[in-house]
Amino acid sequence: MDFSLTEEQALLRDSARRFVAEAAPVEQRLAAARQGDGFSRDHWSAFAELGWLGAALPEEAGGFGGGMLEAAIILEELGRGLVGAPLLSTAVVCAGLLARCEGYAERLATLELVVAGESLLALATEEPGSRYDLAHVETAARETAEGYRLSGRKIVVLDGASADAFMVSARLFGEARDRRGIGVFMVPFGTPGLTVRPYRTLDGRGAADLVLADVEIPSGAMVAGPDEGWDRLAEAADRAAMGAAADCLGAMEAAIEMTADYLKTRRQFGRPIGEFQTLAHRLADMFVAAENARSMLYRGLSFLDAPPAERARAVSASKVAITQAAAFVGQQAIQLHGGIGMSEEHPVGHFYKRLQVAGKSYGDLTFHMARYVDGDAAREQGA
Amino acid sequence: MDLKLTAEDEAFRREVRDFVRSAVPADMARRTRRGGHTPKADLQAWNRILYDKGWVAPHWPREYGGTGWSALRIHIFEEECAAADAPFLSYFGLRLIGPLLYTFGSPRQKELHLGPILRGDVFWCQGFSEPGSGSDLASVRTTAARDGDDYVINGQKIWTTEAHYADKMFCLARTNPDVPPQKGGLSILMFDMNQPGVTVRPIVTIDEGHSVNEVFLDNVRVPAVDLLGEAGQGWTYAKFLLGNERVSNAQVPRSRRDLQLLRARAEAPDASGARLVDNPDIRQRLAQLEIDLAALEWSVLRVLASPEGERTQASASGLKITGSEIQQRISELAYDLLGPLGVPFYGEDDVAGDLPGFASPDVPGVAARQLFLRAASIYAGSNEIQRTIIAKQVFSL
Repeated sequence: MDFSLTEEQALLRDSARRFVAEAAPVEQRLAAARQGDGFSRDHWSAFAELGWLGAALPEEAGGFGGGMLEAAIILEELGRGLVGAPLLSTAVVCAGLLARCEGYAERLATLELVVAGESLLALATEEPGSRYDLAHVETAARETAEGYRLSGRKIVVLDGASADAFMVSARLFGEARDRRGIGVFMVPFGTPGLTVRPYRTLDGRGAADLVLADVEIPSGAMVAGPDEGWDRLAEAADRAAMGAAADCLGAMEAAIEMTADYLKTRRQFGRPIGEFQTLAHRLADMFVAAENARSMLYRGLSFLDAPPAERARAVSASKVAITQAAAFVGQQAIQLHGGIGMSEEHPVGHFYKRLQVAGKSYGDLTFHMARYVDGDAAREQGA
Repeated sequence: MDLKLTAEDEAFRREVRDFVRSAVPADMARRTRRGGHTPKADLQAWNRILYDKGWVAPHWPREYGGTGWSALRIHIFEEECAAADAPFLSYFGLRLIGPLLYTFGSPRQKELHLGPILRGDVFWCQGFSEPGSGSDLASVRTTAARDGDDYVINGQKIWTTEAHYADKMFCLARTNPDVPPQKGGLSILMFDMNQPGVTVRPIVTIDEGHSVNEVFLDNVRVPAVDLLGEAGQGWTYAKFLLGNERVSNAQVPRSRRDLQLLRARAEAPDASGARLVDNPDIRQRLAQLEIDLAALEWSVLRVLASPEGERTQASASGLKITGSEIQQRISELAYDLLGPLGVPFYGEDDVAGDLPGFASPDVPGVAARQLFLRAASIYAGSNEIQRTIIAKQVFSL
């Protein structure tokens, strides 16, 4: 075990931190978040130039040979700076899924576009009532003479408001919660029958719902078939959950730093409020919570290549611990700011909203706690 | 001690329920259930309905327009109003300046202001907090300088709830800069918001709603007769108010209603027949909240039933801490139950049928409410300040 970053990883972190610090002050990014895509297209081009969009891909898939550790390093910095770019959706979740689907003919061509910053992808798995269960797929895929015809609805497609194409889970056979029978299909924006209903998220990023009404796609658009679809989606969702967790770590630490500064400068009763022990201790508890969360980030990342059941259990443990820590840190960051922490103009509340949305991305507390418990039950039965 | 409701109390509850349920207009109830910041028109309309019934200020002494109900009956009344999704009446007239006026005001001040407050004709806001003076209320910098028959007020107030609705402000200001605030340096002055020198600027809060404001006071001229009660008593009056405010900040009736709605949502089967309440974790969190709220409710009843002179600031502080935390926890559980539907931002104008995530109409408002309720442990004296009050008052620490 070695917790120190390699030279390349340290360089990546430093360049990400510098970029985020220089790119735009938090206030400007918040203003940008209120309009359009929820992120800056200039940032996206810069990410491509910096090599971040291929940072988590193996070289054989057109990437730069890194993996989830590299992705986590970048995502943490984006969280720290409240940057809204869809790096997790496109370059980590969707690109990572594609990289593992070797039967997909367009695989390398699509990944090349992603790495070059020319294509934004979004994963569309959530359906009304599915509550993060990847097997809860009612969207239907029917074979036709030329390919497939998709019908159904997808909701809360993260970064879906700006996606050039969607990776959609749809059922080829079986019942609504069967793991077998689910395929993953590439559906470009603008395909007839596809309606994209964009909206912004609580933390100012772009998401969308999809309505698929007899969407015709060619047979080559199937990224993963019904025998492997669920497995690929489950891997991708677990990597995504850890990516969201890394984002949380950055946001948590930034909120803590901001709160520490405030406790040193805000004066009441004739002294800086940080001199009141109850507030100083609260800040210390926030620090401890974030430290524990970081440990669980690394622990979760270390299990991403483990056998599926172990992986799922470890990722759920991480997601539960980090979401709980994030709630505490985010709430107390506002509390210690007092009234000003309630103002939309102040960044601290935006960290909280970022943490809340990350907490509800790729499985929320309830989902991961239940998955952990179920995994435990399965282990006991097997033992 | 007799710990049971009497048959008369139960009959009273039925009478209130029958009236309130039919008196709240359906669209008003829907807006209240949704939990956003109540529009002024709803506050006025509901105020008027209760005024006409004679029930607008049950907690006031009968001679000033109160009902003469016992503390328990007032609580029953408030619970029934909340259960019917009636709007929560504007606070600053009926709860704050009204009691201040009938307790400390001059005969002229009572004559002038109490009637319009009861009728809902005049809305008030409270000018206490300042940018440099939050928890440390004694540090207010706004000055009121005597000039002939007038005071001239200069300063800045912040977090002023409903200043944009208000016709009048009651404002804490330094009338004697040579004396410490706690020893006669502060007074409360009442003035029209609609006059030269008063500027209201909205503050958008993290829920993206507008209920609080900054208020700039620039040479605002106030006749000396509009100084509340006696000059130099501002600190005493402020402490009287904060005690009142903290008891009602327990917000038991509202939390009870929120928890009812939450349980109903958790028990409703979704399209595939699954119910959130079947998740043991959620069932337990609901139960814990119900138990904690029951404890708070009985604590409120105990405080309200005690003679006014025996009520301590510490007991009020305890209610404020527990009440605000329960409100927050209910709203957090409600947000947790949304699952992925907690991700979209729902605007005030979002209407059913067209909502992000194909959400049902009870979804919008949930995320915003849990965000806004972060303020509950900050406003009316932060919960840290309340703990200090308890430690000092009860244990002389």
